[in-house]
Amino acid sequence: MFKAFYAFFGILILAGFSYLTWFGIQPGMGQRKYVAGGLRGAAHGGYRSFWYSGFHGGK
Amino acid sequence: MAVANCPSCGGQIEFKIGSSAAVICDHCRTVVARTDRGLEDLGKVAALVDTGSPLRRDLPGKIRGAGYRLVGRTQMRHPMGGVWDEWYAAFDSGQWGWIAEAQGKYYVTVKEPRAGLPPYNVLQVGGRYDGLTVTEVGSATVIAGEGEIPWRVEPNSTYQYADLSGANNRFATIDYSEEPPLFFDGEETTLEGLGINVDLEQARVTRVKVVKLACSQCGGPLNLVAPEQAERIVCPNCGAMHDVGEGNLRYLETLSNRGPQPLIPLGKAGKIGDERYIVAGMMQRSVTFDQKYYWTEYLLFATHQKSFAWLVEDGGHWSFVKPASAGAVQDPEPGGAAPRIEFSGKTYAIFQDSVATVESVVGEFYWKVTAGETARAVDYIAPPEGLTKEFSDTAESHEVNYSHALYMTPEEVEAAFEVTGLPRPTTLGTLQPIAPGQKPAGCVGCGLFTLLVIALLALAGILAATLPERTIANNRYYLGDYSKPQPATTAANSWDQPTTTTEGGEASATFFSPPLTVHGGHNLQVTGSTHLDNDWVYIGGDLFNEKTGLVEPFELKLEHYSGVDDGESWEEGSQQLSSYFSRLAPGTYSLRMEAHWDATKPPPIVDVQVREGVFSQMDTIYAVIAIVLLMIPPVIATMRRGAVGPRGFTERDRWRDSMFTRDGKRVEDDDDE
Repeated sequence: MFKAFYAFFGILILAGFSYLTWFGIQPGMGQRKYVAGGLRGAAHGGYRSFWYSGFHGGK
Repeated sequence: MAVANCPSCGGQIEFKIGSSAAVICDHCRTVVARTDRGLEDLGKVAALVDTGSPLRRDLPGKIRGAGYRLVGRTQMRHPMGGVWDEWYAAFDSGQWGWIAEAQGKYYVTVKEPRAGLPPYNVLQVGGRYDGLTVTEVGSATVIAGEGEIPWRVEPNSTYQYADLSGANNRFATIDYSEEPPLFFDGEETTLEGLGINVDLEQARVTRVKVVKLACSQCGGPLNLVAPEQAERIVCPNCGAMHDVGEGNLRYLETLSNRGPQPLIPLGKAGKIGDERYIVAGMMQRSVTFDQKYYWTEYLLFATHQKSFAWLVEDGGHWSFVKPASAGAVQDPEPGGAAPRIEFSGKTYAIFQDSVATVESVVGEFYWKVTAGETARAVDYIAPPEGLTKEFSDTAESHEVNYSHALYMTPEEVEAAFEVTGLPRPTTLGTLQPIAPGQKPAGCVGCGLFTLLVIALLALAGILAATLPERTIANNRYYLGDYSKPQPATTAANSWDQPTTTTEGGEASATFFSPPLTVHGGHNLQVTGSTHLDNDWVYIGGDLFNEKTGLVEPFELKLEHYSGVDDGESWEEGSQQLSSYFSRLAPGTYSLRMEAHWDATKPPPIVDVQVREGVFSQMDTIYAVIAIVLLMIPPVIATMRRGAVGPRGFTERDRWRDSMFTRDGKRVEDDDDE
């Protein structure tokens, strides 16, 4: 019984490792931020300058 | 007292007890019943069988302060062949008591008025009545008797009965010889409990004798160690089976299956505890699962108690087995197989429920044993002890018997019976104790753990080799001159507002990468490198997607210091660092970077490389985490593993052979490692 469970558990771990590695999943992936389109449009100097409006990209 | 003459022989008979119903004539064994119209001749009974009872007529006794005298007895024959005594006790109070005696046990009951007794045909072994468990339903035949009897004895009459047992040695019998049936309630007790002053030692010593007979077929010696109780004897030389009746042999058949040779010779005496035993017979039994499994049982006759016990041998393991009172066993399912039962304050777990078959017999037995005889046996264990519940069914009787087993080593058996050379076990015995606290060497599942780790490392290597790694940007930034990124890969003519500032000794600059085309589906690596020495530059930035608005920060703390102290060179920091982003959707991205450096030093030059689909440092960490996770089950299993027994056997090894899990659930083909 233990062997069967452990083999199943081990396969799950290997599958999880393969998934994370192949797709390059990093911790915190679910916490990505998005800048509202309105904010970008309102920035001076074009879409690449919205940081100057006060957004610091999390830094 | 009334004195009369026997209507058969004219001899004098006495009715000493006013309430006795019959007297058996001492001269001619005629049963004389007392009726309203005078004396009635009910016929003759056979001569008394020597059952080896230490009791005798006219003995006085006292039970719980109530005095009585034994005034008569009848002898009953069981359908399986055995004979037992029923003594009749006339109490000083005028009440009658019944004292049944069988195999060293005594059952004292008195008649109690009871209405609504269950009919005989609905009674089942294991059923309940009045807090009691039905342990036997069967019939008995009156074959002999003596003295005064409280009931009308019909010689050779057969009546049906049911025996019941309960807690605290309670014992009862339902007697179906009359309509409505009679109820007798009482207890199981000992000879001492009967309060009879008998010179027991003298009585037993005079009766313990071996009867020497000769086999009717081969002439070989047949020694009866319990001649009063023997019903069958099988010649160890030729296998001829005989019925035994009062010391006379009647040849039945010669058994074809002779079975194994006894490891302890028949007739050999030994001592277990304080009791002396003689090996009376041996039989081999079997159960069939995927194949036949055999074991042997040695019938032991206790010369002092005049009772029987067993010595069971299975694969070199031995156990000493004695009957257990059904009333002393707390069994939730007397007619079935409960997961747990209790006996003497100990809980026993079910281990096996099977049909045992007698394969071969040799020697002497107290019942009419036959090869091929079957019985359902339910085994419970609490090593080193065990309890077995055995159901015996014949056309005339149905019984359930409990027996208690105690594990013995071959060495203990050799010492008890002064024999040598008993085989040693190579496996863990069902009842073999495992010393607490001893843990086996090695671990559980280590082999599989090693395999899984090897598989993990191989997988990591394969993934690292097959990931579609590609470089999508490789730019050099002169932080003192960001208007000239090297090389400029796109027509990024909108590099608007790059700035430098100086504040508190730090210079900083903000700049953007050219647009990056990401294929998606894999991670992204941003690597910053510089050739600084004894200097630092900090780059904080964001990866952003102009279309979706995704913004994800990163930072690179590049610093490198080196020198020589006390003649030893040292170095710390890193001139190259990477930051990673999780799987991205395909699209065009850019990097916004903000660099800080020491304003007192020349602006550094930073190379920024962006690659997609790489084996990252995080993947290495994932591999380490996976190894740790893989380690958990073996560690837990090893820690939870029970103590180890001889040769490293564990409880797991014991239960591997069971039909049940340790929780009492039935498993047919459980792969328990």
